[in-house]
Amino acid sequence: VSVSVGRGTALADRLVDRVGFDGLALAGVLVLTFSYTSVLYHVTDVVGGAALMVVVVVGMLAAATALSRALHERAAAGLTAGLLALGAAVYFGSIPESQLALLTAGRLVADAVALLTGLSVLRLTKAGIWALVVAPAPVFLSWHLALRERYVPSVLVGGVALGLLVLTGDAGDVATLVGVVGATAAVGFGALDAHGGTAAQVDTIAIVVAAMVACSALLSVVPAGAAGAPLLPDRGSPTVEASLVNGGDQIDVLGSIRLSPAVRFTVRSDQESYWQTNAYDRYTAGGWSRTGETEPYTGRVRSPPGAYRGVEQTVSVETASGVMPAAWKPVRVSGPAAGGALVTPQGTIRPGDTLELGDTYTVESRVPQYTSEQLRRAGTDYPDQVEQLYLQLPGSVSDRVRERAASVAGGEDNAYDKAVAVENYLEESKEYSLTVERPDGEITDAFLFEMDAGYCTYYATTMVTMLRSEGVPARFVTGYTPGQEVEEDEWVVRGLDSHAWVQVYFPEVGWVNFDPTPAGPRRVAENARLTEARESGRPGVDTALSSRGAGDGITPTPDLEAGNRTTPNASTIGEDTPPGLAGEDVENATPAGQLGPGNVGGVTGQDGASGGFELPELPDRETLGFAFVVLVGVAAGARRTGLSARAAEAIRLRVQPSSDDPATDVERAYDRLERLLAREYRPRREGETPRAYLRTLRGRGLDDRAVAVGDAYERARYGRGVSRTEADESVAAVDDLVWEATPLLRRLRE
Amino acid sequence: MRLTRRGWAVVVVVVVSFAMATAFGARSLNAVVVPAFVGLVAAAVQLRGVDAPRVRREPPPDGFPGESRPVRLLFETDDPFTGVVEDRLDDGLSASPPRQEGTVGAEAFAYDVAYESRGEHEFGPVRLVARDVLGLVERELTVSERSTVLVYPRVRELQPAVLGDLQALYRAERTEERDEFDRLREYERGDPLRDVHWKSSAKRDDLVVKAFAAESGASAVTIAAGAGAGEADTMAEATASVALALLSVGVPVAVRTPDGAVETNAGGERTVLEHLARSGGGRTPTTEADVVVEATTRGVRVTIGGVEREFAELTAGADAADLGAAVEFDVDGTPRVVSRSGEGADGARDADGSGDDREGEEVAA
Repeated sequence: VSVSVGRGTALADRLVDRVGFDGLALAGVLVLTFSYTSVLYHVTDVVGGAALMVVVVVGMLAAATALSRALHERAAAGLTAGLLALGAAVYFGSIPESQLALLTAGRLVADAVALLTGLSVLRLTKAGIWALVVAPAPVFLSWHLALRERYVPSVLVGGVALGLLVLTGDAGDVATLVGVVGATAAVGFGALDAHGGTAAQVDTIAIVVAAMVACSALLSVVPAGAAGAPLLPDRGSPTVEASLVNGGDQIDVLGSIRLSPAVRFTVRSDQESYWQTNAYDRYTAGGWSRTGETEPYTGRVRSPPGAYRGVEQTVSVETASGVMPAAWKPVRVSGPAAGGALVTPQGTIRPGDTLELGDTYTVESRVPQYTSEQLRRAGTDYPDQVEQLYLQLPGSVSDRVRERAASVAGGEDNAYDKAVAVENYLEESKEYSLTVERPDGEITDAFLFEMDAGYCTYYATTMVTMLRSEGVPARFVTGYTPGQEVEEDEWVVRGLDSHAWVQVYFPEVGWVNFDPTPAGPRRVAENARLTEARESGRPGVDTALSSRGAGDGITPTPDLEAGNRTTPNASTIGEDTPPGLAGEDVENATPAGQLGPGNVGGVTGQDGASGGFELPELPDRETLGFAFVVLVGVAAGARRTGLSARAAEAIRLRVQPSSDDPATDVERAYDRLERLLAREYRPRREGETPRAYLRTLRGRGLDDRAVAVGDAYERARYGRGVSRTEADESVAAVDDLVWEATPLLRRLRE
Repeated sequence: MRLTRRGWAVVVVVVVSFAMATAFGARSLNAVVVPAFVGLVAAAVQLRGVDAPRVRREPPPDGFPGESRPVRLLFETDDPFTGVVEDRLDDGLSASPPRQEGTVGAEAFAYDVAYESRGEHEFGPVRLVARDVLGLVERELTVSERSTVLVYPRVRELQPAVLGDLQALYRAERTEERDEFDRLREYERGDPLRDVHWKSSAKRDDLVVKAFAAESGASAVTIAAGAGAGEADTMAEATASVALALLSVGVPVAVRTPDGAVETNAGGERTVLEHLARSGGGRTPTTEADVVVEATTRGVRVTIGGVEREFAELTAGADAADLGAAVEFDVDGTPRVVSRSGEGADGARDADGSGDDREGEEVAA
């Protein structure tokens, strides 16, 4: 190992010689550039424009390279300002007139604050254009500065870009760390380039970078999972609207989750239903995002396009909450807690302020009425807006996902049958489990081809992706299953009832619920959790009414869809499957018992993604990079402390490759002997013959065997040659001398 | 040990990131805070391990005001580091560039020192600001390596007539005091024809004159100088100009200043310049001298053979040549005044360059 480490660092030295410090500094700037452009690329990959993004970034690098000599820094900064201004013009030009009219300086500031406090870029309505207009300026300026050997300003520019994306929450840990490492390398090697550095300084940089990477992976110093949420313009002051973005959710698909048994709501309703809280239009490959701005509730919300049945629900809040569950589709909200309610462009409602324990509100919903035949006949005459928003798929959705969707649902000729086919396929082919490892990359591909099991988020995400790839507008919906019916028309809804399902759009009908998650296993998991919580005496698990039926857990409730539609597959999710039992809630993602808008359905708000001081699991590719950086650091450290040189010397002293030629063997043995004697006595002086050298040392107590090796060496070199036996003797003699000179062995002997 | 501007920026990033993480959610801020913190700690560790390097300065030779000479600082350390090097210089010297960034221990630092005013000036100590590889933290180190340089007074060219007066002074003196034959020597400008040793001159293709004992002793032209407070520089300038003018034509001089005295033959310019470089002001030690220089706030007055004049009147016009610029140094560092006419230069070179050898030759002959 030591030898290879020595070789590795020698290789690194040659690399440094060849590339030069300036080359390494430039590479650092490129790595930093890559880190933030990859984040922006991901945004365009989700919403479209990825190819254009590559063109923009490569084009900017080329332009900066071409202009690096001709253009002074000041002029380049001016040009960059021009790029930003142009970008702003393009961006605002892409915003619809109606929204542009609302634009004021105050709103722009509010939007900027929202972004910097954690509002994901993906939440912007025009996220793709935003990414495309933001990218050119930093790429151009930082590369221009780097080529002019102004590495620190270059890193500053790139660092600001990366920092912005870190603050919006779009840059992941790995991308951030990669960027920071690039910035460090650029600054370090840039300084060495300016003054000419030493190999030791290169080693120091390598060690510092390795320590940064290792510590970042192993230590979590910032308060993780703190009560953090973006400062949304509508938060706490519903009348202040954001112009471009608005209060909504972003959710990441997680790994293993737990169910929370705490009671969230009590719902009095004349009909059982899934209580919906949110709907998401934008799939980000790793989660869901809701775009568009919320509007204050002004008394009336649009009705579904087709026939409906009015359902009135009165909801009492049992745990402070940021959501307003209601049966789809809510049209009117009233009651003490309804003041300041907001309406999302997806048609869901949410409170302006956090709802406190004891708050109540009444929602009037118009539940679409339809038959399966009606849905089959609905056709594909979708409104433009539905087509624009609800057929979006990230570029990272693989071909095999599309092919699988085609093979499952491609044979059907209408959207309804396609949806049913996908729903059945998922229910039958996947197991239900709350204990899963969060996959890398795009969720659908992983769930379809690599995972055997998952929970509602996985099922619903996959179904939406498959339907969208088949041209059926669909969206991801979160909320609660009906819960425990404690009395006639009264349901107790717990955290564990939170759920994610799918809505598919049908012209003339509106959004229709589909639930691809198999309900049976879900109920088992839930029951177990609830029973456990009750047995451990956990507070907040029951209301006065719900504990009456504690013996058998949750009472079965009738089919959710029974009143809405009669479907051929009703039996697969209905009848023996009380629909009120689906769902799960992430306990650790609901700090202080408060249910945040993003914390339902096995998903969590972006800020709750990492919890506590656990070791983050690095995915494979990242693990390799991590190991590489740390290894280079360790090698540099070994060399810096002289460890590798000592180790290499120790090995050269002890290991002698054998050859066929006795003379060569003797020469090698003598070479080792000289190394040993140099350590024990003194090195042979220049011009001193081996014979004279050994004779002098003999006077200082040199072993006779050493002298014999010297004689053999002389014979081999200048005399009649040596026999095989003599050669072997010499090698053995040196071996003995070396081992005797090894401190540990000598100590043992004495 | 203190933070650099860059270091402060990193600290601000850490603090802001931490605050943002606390207030609005962790996001990936851990991947910013931890590396930044590691960078700062690593910087402190690197600088703790830095030992003050050994420094050797290659000092420049003495020179005249207005001259500029290269200086090199050589550092020796086991562990080279990036840093800023600044050589502290006395007033009267200035470095360009005054400080430089570089790798201490891996390369020599060179700068030009400009001699600004007359005097004995000191270099050092060397001030080092060591930085870590990322330039976040710096630490100041001072290495005492001192050397000195003498900056001579300015030397102005005198009007030919004045030079003639001075020579006449010497000739008169020598004519009066001819006594013992001392040796034969090469002809120098201004030697009276009657001193030419024709016999020897015929043997060599060169004029040889008889030298008398008085020539190299009491018969030197004596210059006494004094100055009021703050006028030492002008005193030294006038004195040096007169003395070097005399030496340039082979006339020995004896200079007395408030600080001491120096006496030299032609070729001893350096001795005179060194003495005058250090001279301070004070009362004129004696008025019993061939030339008396008195510097006051009203000007410098020079008395030559009893005639008192302003020094400014003696110099070669309003744009009196600054002879300092026309002084060259021989290989051994001896200054050699090269006058405008060129004749003086020849004389001077002959006088100082080969005097000793010639003498030996003559004795042997």
